[in-house]
Amino acid sequence: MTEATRPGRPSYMPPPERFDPEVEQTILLTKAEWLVDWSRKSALWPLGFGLACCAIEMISTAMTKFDISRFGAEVFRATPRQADVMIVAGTVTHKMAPRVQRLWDQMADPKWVIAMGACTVGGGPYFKYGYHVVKGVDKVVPVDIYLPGCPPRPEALLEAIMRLQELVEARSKRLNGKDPGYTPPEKGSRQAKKDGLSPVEPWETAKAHKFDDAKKKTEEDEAKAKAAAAAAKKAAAPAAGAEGASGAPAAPKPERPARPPKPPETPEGGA
Amino acid sequence: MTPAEALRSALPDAVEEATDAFVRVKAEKVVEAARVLREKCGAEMLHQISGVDRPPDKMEVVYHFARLKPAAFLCLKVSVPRSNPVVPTLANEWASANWGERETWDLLGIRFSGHPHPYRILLPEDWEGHPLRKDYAYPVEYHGVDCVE
Repeated sequence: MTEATRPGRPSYMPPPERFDPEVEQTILLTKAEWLVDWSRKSALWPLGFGLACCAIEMISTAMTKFDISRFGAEVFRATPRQADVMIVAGTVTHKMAPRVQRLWDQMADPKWVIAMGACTVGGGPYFKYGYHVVKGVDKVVPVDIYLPGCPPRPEALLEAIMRLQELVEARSKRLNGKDPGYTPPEKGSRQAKKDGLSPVEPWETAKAHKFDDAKKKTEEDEAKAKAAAAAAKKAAAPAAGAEGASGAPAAPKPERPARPPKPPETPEGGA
Repeated sequence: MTPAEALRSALPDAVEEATDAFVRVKAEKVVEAARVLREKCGAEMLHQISGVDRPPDKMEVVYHFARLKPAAFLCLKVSVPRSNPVVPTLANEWASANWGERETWDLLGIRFSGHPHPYRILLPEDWEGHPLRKDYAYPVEYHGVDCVE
């Protein structure tokens, strides 16, 4: 019997260092960071609030048939200060968005967000003509897990909890420098402004700054286009004068080369 | 006595149009007409108020009354000009009109003169425009959250 298949020792635990068998059976040896990870991911306390019909599925997930307590997430807290994960279950309206933001602000670090349902993922059925719906809760708070569905089945929410547990484990590995692909967050990012010690996940900064970047880009593009237009005017003015003197009309230079002329179509079955 | 007959006999100059489905009365006479419906036709319950936008020049308010025994539904309509849509309130007669009229103001911008609490009910207080109007301009941004994808 190998170490990994020994009964009573789950496969996800780190392989033990070798000790006397009697010692191993009486004392559980592990690393402190592993223990912290394990306790964090096994006791994700959700914030108990629902905004629309997805909340019914969330409640159903908490009840006996689906039993979210199998994953340690059954303690729905009535205050954000005791909660680890915010399950945004339902349609977030523009009227509700500042409240959601405030709840997220009041949660203690480390904290996570599950966007449950089509409305929170991207506006859902109110995508085009819903004047009152925020087109995705990631415009308000950074989202870790996107859970589509209208509404998602309770099994899907359980899957989201399991994915979040993986994420929690990965996060702590990153914080400990175990992940070679991890790069620290930029200074001045959203979370870094609030708490310089708490690093920001890459996806958080991407979500928080996506639209700011888009705005900056459009502004930069406009400035560039204006400068290019001014330069083109300056360059065109003497040239136009010269052409006007010679009598030739000033033709605008095509940006793309003209397409080659199409071959004449032969009627099918002709000839 | 049908609602149309009752209204015609009590308020002969208020009825503009009467069909089997509804009675249309003048806007300034709507309180009296509703009172007649309650006293003569037993319409003791006002269970819905809705508004209709009919561009370019009209807006409508539709009142749905119910008589419980024997069961019947009565419909009262009011047309107002779109440039100045004002209707007298029913909130002092029927408590249920309070929220219904606030909702009609919120979404269509029809004012109800004499309403005890004439504020928006669904949308935020600082929302611009009335969304169910046909010419409503969709917002681009609200409190820092953009409204378009």
